[in-house]
Amino acid sequence: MALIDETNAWPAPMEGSHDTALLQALMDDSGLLVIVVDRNSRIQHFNGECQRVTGFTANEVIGEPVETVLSNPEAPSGTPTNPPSGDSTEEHPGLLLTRSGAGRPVCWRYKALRDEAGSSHRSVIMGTCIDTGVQPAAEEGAFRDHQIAQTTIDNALDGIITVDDAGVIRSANPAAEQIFGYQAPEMYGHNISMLMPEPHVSHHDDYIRRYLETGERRIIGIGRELTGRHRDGSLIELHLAIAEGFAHGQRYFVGFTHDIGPRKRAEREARQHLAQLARTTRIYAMDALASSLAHEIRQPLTAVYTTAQACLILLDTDQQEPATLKESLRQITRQARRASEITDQLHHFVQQGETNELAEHDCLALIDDVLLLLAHKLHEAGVWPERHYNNLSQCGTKINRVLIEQVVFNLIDNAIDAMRETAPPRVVTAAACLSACGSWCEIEILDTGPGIPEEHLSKLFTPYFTTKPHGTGQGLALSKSIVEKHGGQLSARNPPAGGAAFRLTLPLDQKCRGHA
Amino acid sequence: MANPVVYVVEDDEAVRNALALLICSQGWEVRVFDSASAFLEAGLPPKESLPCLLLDLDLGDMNGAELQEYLQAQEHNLPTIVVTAKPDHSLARRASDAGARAVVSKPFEATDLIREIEQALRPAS
Repeated sequence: MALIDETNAWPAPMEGSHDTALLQALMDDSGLLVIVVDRNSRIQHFNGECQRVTGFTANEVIGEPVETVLSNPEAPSGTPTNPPSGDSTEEHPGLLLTRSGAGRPVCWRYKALRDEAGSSHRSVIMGTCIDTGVQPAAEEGAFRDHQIAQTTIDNALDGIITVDDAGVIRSANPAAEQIFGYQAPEMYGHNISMLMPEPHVSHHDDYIRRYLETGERRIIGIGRELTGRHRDGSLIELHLAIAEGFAHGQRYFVGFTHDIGPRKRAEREARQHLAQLARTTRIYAMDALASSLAHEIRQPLTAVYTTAQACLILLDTDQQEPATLKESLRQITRQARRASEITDQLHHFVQQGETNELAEHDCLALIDDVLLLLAHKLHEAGVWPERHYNNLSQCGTKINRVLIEQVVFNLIDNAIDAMRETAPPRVVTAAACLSACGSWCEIEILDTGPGIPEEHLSKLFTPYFTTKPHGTGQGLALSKSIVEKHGGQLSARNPPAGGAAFRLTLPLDQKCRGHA
Repeated sequence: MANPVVYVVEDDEAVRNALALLICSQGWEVRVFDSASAFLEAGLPPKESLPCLLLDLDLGDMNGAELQEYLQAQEHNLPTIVVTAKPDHSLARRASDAGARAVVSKPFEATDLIREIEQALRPAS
């Protein structure tokens, strides 16, 4: 801020006056508001009464345009509030803005100060507070209400900033000073875009104009997260809600904002933690899968190898019949493809482990893939997989396939483990259907095991809770957070028919909703 | 003298067919089963047919080790060769303890398996 005045002492006595003591008393103790402005309407002097009423020190406002502290509610926005030259004996109503952004009604008049040559380089604005005209009792009540409102604004944790319909900042509370790093008077009179980074800087006026023209609300009364700019140029993550009001015939907007940087950082860290956890759990799953898949690949390899050797033997012993050999070669081709499909599956499972994107996927294909991955384990444990799919054909859900695959994998894997001690028939059922309301995809994994002990039901999704001898206690906790991150739910129950059931719901894509 | 018969209990169709082809290439007769129960339902092979059994371990309802233990309990000393992808698994040890004469790991050299079968088919002298 440019400081013009050296001291804030009253300038040299005016021509013709010899009683500086009287003048000083009038200036300091009469209760008269006195502001002296230069020919550019910048404040040169701001007397004690003005300082007392507004809460600004003289140093804070000297050099600032007078509009920073004095507004004329009757003047259309954009026109200069105070003509710098000429005299006005007529009283003007106005608002003297206080440090906290409130407006104190005043009435004022102004007079050009002329030098000996008769030219005017400055004007004096004289005013008085108008709290009269109101009944004393009501006035006291209004004053008390005002005080309460002011205390609220001053102590609010949210930054509160008022702008007019031209986007010019009219008030800012201490919390706003804290958030943006500016003193309130430094913000007054500036366009609100000073607190915004590009590209909003250049567009904000358009935002206001569009709202004024169309009435279409994008932020007013809604609130949203956006990025602001601190005085030091750094970016601040903010939540901003805007209210609209009218006072003295003029529209104004009040922004309520708070720094959500810490919350955002915590969210980001939680996401990273989740991803890390997912990777760890995935590695555990890979470990279990590796031996299973090695076996899975050995079968077609054995078939290929043995068939090929048998063919060579047949060729050597002159027993060959073209039909037999041809069928054997077909067999070899088929089994080689089978081996290659298994490696594709494994590749797919590993490769997608790092991606974070959401894409539309067919849940049924996903379940089928998981069953394929677990085929060997199912077989080895003597568990029969059943699939009940209803109403879900052609329906996609926006998911991170790898993560949801991980959830379904965990649930089926758990189901198999739960039936280790169960007498046959051991069946795991993957049921998928459209929810009754048509907006969810419901997947349920049921087993025919002993069910979940009542006392475990509530702890099931708690991290580190496990009943498996080598369990990490992360599988279900992780699964639940993955599903919830997708806007869905994961729950467990013991169905009346026996066994355990885990149900996961995922929101369907809008366009699929209601399809049968 | 009757042709030796090699019995195969293997649930993977492709492996089963490959074993059958290899056995046929040696001029032996082959009977294939996809599970232990199917094998037992067909009735135990008569000893004079000089049978031999190629047994997988990972079978659905009754695993290979259980079948071998059952055969041992029946005192039917059918010479058994375990053919498995997991020769280190506890099931392989159980089958050996129950009298299986050899464990061959998948995938195998045809000549190795043929040699094992030849030895198994040789009548005890």
